[in-house]
Amino acid sequence: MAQRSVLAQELEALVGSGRILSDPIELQCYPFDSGLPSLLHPQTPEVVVLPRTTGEVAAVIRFARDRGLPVTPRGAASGQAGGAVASPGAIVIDSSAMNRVLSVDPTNLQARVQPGIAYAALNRQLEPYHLFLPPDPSSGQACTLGGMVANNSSGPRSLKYGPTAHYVLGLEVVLPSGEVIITGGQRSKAIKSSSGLNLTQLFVGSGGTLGFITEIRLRLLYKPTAQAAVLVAFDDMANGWRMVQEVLAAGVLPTAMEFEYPAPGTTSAAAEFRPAFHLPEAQFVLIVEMEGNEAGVHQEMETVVGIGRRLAQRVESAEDPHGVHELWEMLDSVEGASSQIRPGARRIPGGEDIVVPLDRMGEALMGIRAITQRHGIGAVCFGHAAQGNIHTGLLVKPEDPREVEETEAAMREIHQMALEMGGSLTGEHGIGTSRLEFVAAEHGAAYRTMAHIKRALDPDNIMNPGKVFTKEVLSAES
Amino acid sequence: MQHSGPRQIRVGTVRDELYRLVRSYIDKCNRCGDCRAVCPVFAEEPVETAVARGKLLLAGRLLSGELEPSPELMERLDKCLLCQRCTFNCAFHLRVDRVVMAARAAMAEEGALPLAKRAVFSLLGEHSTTMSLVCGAGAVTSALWGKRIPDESGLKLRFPLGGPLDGDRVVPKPAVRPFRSLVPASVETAHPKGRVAFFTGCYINYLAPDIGGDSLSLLARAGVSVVIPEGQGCCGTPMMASGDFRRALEQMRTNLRALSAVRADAVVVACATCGTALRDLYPEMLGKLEPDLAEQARQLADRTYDISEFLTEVVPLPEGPTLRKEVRVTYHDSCHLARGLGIRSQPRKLLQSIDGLDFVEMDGSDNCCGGAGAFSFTQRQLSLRITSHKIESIARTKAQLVVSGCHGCNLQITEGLAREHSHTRTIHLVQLLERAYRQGQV
Repeated sequence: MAQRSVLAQELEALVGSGRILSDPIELQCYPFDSGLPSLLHPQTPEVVVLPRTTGEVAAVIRFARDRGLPVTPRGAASGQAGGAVASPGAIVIDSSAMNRVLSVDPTNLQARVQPGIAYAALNRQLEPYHLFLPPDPSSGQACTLGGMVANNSSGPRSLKYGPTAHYVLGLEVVLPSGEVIITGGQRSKAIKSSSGLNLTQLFVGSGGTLGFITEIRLRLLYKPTAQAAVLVAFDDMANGWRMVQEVLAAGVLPTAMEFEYPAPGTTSAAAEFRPAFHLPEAQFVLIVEMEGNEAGVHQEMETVVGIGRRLAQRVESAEDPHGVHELWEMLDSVEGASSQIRPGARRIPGGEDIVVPLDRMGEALMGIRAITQRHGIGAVCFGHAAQGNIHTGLLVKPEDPREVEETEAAMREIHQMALEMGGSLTGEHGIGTSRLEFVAAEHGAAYRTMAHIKRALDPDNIMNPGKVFTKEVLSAES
Repeated sequence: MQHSGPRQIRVGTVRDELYRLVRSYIDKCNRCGDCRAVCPVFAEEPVETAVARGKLLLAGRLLSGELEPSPELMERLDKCLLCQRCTFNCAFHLRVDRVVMAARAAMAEEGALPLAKRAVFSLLGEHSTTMSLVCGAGAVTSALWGKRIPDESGLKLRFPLGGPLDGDRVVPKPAVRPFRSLVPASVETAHPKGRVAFFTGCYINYLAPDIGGDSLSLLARAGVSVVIPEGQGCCGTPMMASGDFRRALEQMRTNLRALSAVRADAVVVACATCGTALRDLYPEMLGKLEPDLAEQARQLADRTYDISEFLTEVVPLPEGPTLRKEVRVTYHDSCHLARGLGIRSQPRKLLQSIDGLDFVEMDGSDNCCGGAGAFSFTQRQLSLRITSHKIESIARTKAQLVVSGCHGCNLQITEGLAREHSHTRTIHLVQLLERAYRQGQV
């Protein structure tokens, strides 16, 4: 058994035995999230702390502040941007043991939860109340509410329901000083408020750089009673984007409008596994999902099917849960087949969350394909069509150093392209470390204002240093 | 004890060979963390070494030589139930169980297999005759070393010794004589609809011959003749799961020989673990390590059936099983049956064919019971914590009986029920069915 470090022993005195990981065998499982930067540059924490209470988190942060040690908050580390990967020399505070639903108040449509509960686990616990938390990140099985708040996560169904930010009513946060604050009203059960500065939303999307969130007050919705989906295959991508616009213009606000930009030949390859769909080879595939009451959903589905029949080569629809699920599976199969086009390559997210204006989506997709071809790697593109959000899986052989260089160059070009098009670096994954070099270009003077706020709350820069804020922007403020 | 190891593996290259077998699973993990959502061990111990993505990383480093075997590493690798919940929740369907078994094998090659396990595997393997004597002696002397826990729990005993088998451990009374020594080489039926070979496995042979007897009765009711092949032994899963892959391969070869030597249309098992071994483990392991036996293993896999599957889809049972008094029953999906073989609907169909049976589903019916063979001994407290969730699910059904197709699960659940002083009992599917055909009570 490895000797416990002095640091581990001191932290154990604060949070109790069994709550500190310092054995090298344990720590070597913590340098990663699911993105490329941590695969290429893993960062092992000094120690991992698994607190159970706000008091324990505050004690650890005060300890870190007194010694000038960095702290990295961590949920499920399901992210792709490096936000939950340890800063050099950091104490990682892992919320995995803070995973309880503290209360559900169905009448007031809200719940209080600890940050370590996974999104899907929370929704399972809300089922008896017929309530749910909508943002629907694709990593919802694993990702934690703390991580969702820190990154303002969203997903396919955020088209209708909006991102996590829309559902956060209040937070309990341990500040870098160790002080504990409650935002959104310290005893509030209000579901709206215009009282004072909106500190709640300051912490939403802050990437763990302003404090450690220990409790979240969430607004909930009643679950819709009906659902329908329409899968549409186009032989011309332009018609796909025309359909997105026409559906919205028809007054239909779908729950989700997701696209696949398949590699040539892969739609028919995927269709071989699901012959019931008769999906032809297509340049572009779209799924449109509606939720609401039965009559409304049926009417909207008919509208969408009508538009699809005018513009597309193939339209499939379903109103029963199994049928809807099958259509989503079909879309996933297309994505899966597209991921197989480079034998021996791994699919790695990179430049994976850009947002571009809706009228430049097609251009952006062709741009990504051109960039990756130029660098000799593959790509599979999919995402949230009516939200302008493109996810890119790069098909890379990471054991080849030359290919890694090409990949990193491609990622840079994808991010630059998004900014040049008047888009954003990230729609729902956050800045982390992977997009750090471009943030100043995206925000300009506003980035310096963000740094002002960071310095006011965290003058010693102990909270997740190296994420969201560059050294340059922080030093420019001093 | 020297073993005749697989001929293709030379001493010194074992770790490389194991790495080759499972490397694709390790390399494909993108560390998304979906395994965290379903891992029963992670639910109890929320650390990354507990969950699949951590284990894949550690196993990969061990097998590639970056990490040396150590007791600390073994402790982490030991904390896996091989339940496959992570595999079935993984976008790439990564066989984490295979990787963990390979890593344990690499550790065992370095001498990390405990003496107690070596002794048990030796008894289940090359010294099975001695195993029969040990069981017989254990049965005859059981009054001296065990005491009955709640009478309604049947034959389960509480072991009073300390050490690795702690005093609260529920163990079953062994069979006085092994099942295979009690039954003829074949059971013929007039005008048979077919002829099957019955693979008994260790639970039935040494601990629960009643399940074997009821299986033969049901097969006769269905109108098939049964042969019980000589020379069959342990399926090899216990050895494989603990890393003793050389002995496991030997068992695979032995059983392949025994099952191929008899004339039968199908092989039927009444043990979920054995069924998974014959249908899933044999073709993969023998296919990759013993190319000469690959085709034979594949053919065996193709004609192997769990008894619930055989009696619903191949040769259905006649109608008419009836219980005299209505009984409320719930069903536990064992990991090996539900995920290993994909068998979920068939046992339920058989249960629902019984008149007088009030069937109720438990929530999380396919959540692992926490048993997982040796895991319940080596990770005792963790195992019991996982079991406690299963017991809570059972309690919510208010069922009088918990049915499963795995005697190992039943033993673990029996222990959990006994600890909660529950009156709910466990029973193997074939036992309940056969009693219903006899219009008896349970």
